[in-house]
Amino acid sequence: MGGTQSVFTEDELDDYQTLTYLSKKEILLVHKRFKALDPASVEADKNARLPMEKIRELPELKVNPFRDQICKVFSSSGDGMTFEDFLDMMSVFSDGAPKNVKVEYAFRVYDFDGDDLISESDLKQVIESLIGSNRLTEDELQQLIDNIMDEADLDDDKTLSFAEFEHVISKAPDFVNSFRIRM
Amino acid sequence: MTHRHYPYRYSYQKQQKNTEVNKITADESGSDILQQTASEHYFENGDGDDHSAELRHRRNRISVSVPPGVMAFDGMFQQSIDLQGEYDEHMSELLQQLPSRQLEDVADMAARTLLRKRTSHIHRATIRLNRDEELEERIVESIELDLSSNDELAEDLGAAVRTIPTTLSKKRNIKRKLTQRRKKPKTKWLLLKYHLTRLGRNMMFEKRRMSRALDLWRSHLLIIEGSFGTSVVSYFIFLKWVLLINIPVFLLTFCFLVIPQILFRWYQKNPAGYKDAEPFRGIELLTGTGYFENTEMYYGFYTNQTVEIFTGSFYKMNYAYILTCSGYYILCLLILGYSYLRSYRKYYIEAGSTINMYYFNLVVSGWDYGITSTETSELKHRSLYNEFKEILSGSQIEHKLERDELVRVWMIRGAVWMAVICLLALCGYATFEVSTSLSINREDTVNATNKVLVSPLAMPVVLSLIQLFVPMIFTFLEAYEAYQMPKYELYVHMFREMALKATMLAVLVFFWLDIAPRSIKCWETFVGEELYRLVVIDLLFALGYSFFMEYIRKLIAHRWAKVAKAEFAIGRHTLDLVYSQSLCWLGIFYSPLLPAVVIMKLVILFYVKRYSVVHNCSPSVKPWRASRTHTIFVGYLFIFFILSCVAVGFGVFLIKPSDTCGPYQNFTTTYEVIYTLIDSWKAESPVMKEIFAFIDSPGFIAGLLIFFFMVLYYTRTISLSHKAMVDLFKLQLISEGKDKKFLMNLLNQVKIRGNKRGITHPGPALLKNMESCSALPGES
Repeated sequence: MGGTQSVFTEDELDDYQTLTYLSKKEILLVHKRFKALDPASVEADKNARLPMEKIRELPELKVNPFRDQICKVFSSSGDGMTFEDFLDMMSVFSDGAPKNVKVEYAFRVYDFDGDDLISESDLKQVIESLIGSNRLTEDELQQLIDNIMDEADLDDDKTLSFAEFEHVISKAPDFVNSFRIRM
Repeated sequence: MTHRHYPYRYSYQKQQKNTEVNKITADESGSDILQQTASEHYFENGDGDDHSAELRHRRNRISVSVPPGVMAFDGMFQQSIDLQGEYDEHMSELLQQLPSRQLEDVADMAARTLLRKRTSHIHRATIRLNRDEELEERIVESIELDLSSNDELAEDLGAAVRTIPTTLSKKRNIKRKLTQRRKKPKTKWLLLKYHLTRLGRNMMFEKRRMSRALDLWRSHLLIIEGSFGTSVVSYFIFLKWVLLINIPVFLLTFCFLVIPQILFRWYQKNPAGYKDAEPFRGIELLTGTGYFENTEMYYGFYTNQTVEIFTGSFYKMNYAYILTCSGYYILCLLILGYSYLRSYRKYYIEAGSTINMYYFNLVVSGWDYGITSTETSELKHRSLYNEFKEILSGSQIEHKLERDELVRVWMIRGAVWMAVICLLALCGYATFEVSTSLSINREDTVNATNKVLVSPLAMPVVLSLIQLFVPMIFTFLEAYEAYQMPKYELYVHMFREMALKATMLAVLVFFWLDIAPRSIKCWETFVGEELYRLVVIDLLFALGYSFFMEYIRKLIAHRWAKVAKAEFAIGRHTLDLVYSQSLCWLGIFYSPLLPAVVIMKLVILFYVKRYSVVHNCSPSVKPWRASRTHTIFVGYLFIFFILSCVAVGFGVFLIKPSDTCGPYQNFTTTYEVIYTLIDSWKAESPVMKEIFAFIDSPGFIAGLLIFFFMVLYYTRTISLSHKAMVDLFKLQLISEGKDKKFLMNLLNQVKIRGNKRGITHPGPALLKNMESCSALPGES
C-alpha cells in the first residue's frame, strides 16, 4: 500500500497512474511480478531492461501462442522490455483499458509482418498459432481465410485495414473478455 | 527502402501483351477514366447468398464495361482486376500520403478526448500511427495547436495522452512537453475550475482503488481463470454478483425490521416469545421450526404495535414492514433491470442484427489471454482446432433436409415436447401431493417426534430430487431431437429446466397462498419456514452433488482410466443459482432474515465449488460462449424475479393475513395498511387530499399511459432510422473502397507505362499532384 513501499516515489507513481489504466496498487503488483522474472537485475535498476527470454517466463505469456508478437509490439527498443514497457503491456491488458485501445493493440499483435494491414499470410500465421500442435490442411486453411475475408473485408482488397478490423471487432462481443490479463 | 508487398496487385503479364497498341499519355487517359468513377462501372455477380448481396462484395470478380474511346486500357479492364503485382518505393510513398494513414487523426482523437472528457460512451475513432521517429514532435505540435485555442482543455491532459498508443516513455515525454508549453490559467475562475477537475480526477482514482480493494475473492478467481479459462470463471463471477445483490437487501431488512423489533422487545416489560419457545436442538438448523419459530426469523413474530423508544418517536411496524418490502423489491428491480439491459445492449445490439461474424469472432477472441496452465492451453488449442474443423465441415455440407426427413424430425420434436409437458404436470402434481399430505398434517401429529422431523423435510427433498433427475430425462430425450447446432440444444435444455423449476414453484405458491391459510393458524410463518427449508436442502444437495459427482469421480478416475474426471457443468450450476435466488425473493416477505441465510449459503457454496473445481475437475474441450450465455442467465434471473414479485404481490394484495400473528392482524389484506396511511396523510393536510384525488382520477392515469407510449414510439423510430443510416454508410464505405482501389490501379498503370517508355520517375503532372495532395491535410 501507499506509505510502506519504497521502490517508487509518489511522483513517479502518480505519473504512472495518470499514464496507464492501472491503480497504484496494481502498478506495485506489476512491479513485483516484473521483479520475480529476474530479481537481481531489477534490484539494481528498477527500470531494468530484461531480455525476451526472461519476459517469456511470465505464466500468462508462457502458454500464449502470440507471445513473441506481443513482446515485439510492446517493446520500445525491439530487444527486451523495460519495466515501463511491461507496465504498458499490463495496462492495455487490464480491465480499465477501453475497447479502442485494446483493438489498436490487438491489430498490431495480429499483424505479423508489420505492414499495418492484416493480409492473408498474417491470418494464416494467426490460425496456425491458435491451433498449436494440431494441423489443418492447406485447403482448410485457405477456406477459413476466405471465409474470414468474406466477413470482414469490406472493400475486398484481400487485406484487413485497421478501419475494417475495428468495424468488425464491434461485432465480436467476447473480444474484451478474452483480451485480458488480470493481475 | 525495401519493396513492400501491397495487396493491390495487378497482373503484369496480361498487360504486357497490349503495350504496342498503347500510345496514350498519362494525362489524357487518366482524365477520361477519372471522369467515370469506379462505382458506376463496377457491378457484382450476385451470388444469392445469405449475406445481403449489396453489402458484401463477393470475391474477386469485378467486371467493368469499357468506356468508349479508351482503347489502351482494353486489355486491363476486360480481364478481371485480380490485383497482382508489386509497388515500388514511389508508390509506397504515395500510399503513405493517403489521408487515412496520416497523423492528424492522432491529434484529432487526442483533442476529442479532451473535449469529450465528461461523456461516458466510448468513442470509436481510429488512431493509426506511422512508425516514425519524429512521432512525438508531431503529436505534440498537433495537440498544442488545439490546446492553445482552448484553455480549459488543458486539465485532462493525462486522459488524452493515455489513449495515444505508443510506449510509456514517449507518452511521458509528450505529456511533459505539453505541460511545459501549456499556458497557466489566467483568471481566478479558470484556476478554480482547474483545481476542481484535479480534485475530481483524484476522487476517481480513489474510487478505482477502493473498488479494486473491495474486490471479493480476487485471488481465487484468478486461480480459477488461469486453469480453466473465462467460461468456468463466469459462474463464479455470477455467484459473486448475486451475493452482492443480497447484501443491500439484507441491510435494509436488518435496519428497518429486525432492529426495531429487537428494541421493541427490549423495552417491553414482559416480552413474549423466546421464553416459551422449545429448547434449541441442532435439528432446527435444518427444519427452521421449533426454536426458530418464535424469533425474528419469521413474519409471525413481528409486532403490529408501535415501537416507541423515546417519547414522541413513533415507528409503526406495519407501515415499516410493507414499505421496506416494496423498497427492496424496487431496489432489486433497478439493479437487475439495469444490468440486464446493459448486457443485452452489449451482446446483442453491438453484435449486429443479421450478419453473424462467426469466423472472425473465433479467430480474434479465440485465445483466452488469462490462461496460465500448460494443460489448459493444450486443451484450448485442441478446442479451437475442433471448432475450426467443425465449422469447416458444417459450411461445406448444405444441411437441407428433405421434406420427409423434416416432417419426421418435427414430429419427433412435437412428441418430445408433449412428453416434457406431461412430465412437468406430473412433477407439479407430485409437489402438490407431498405438500398437502405431509406438510399440513404436521399440526396434528406434533407428539410423534419422528413425523415432526421427517414430514417438514419431505417436500424440499422431493423437490430437489425431482430437479436432479428429471433434467437427465430431458437430456435423454433431446438426443432424439437431433438439433442442428449444439447451441440450440443447450438453449432448449435450459428452457425446459427452468420451466420445470417454475412449474414446481408455481404449484407451491398456489398451495401456500390458497390452501395453507385455511388450515394453518399462522400461515405466513409456515411459508417462511418452508422456504427456509427449501434453501437449506438446496444447499445440501449442491454440496452432495459436489461430493459425489466431482470428488468421488476423481477418486474413481484415479483407479480406472476409463472414467474421466468430471467437467464443471457451468449451465446447470448457474441455473441452480437463479433458482436459489428466486427462492430468496419469494421468501423475504415472510422471513426477513432469509437474505442472511442465503448470503451464508452462497459463501459456503463459493468455497466448496472453488476447491472442488480446482482439485476435482478437468477443463472442458467444448467451447462455451460466455458472453451470450451471460445475457441469457441474467434474463432468466430477471424473469424469475418478476414472477416472485407477482407471487408475493398476490399474497399482499389478495390474501387475508392471519389473525393471531404478525404485523397485519385485523386487516383484510396486507395492502389495506397503505390505505390507512394515505388516509392519515389526507386527514393531515387538504393539499395531500387534492393531490391524491388528482392521481386517482382516470384522466391522469390515461395521460401517463399515453405519454409512455409516445416515448416508446419515439425511441423506436430513432433506432430504426439509425439502423437505416448505418446501412447507407456501409454501402458508401464499400463504394469508397472500390474507388480507392480503382484509382490506385490507375496510378500504378500510368507509372508502369511511364517506366516502360524510359521515364524512371513520375512525370511532372504526377509529382505536382503528389505535392498538392500532401499540402491539403495541412490546410484543413
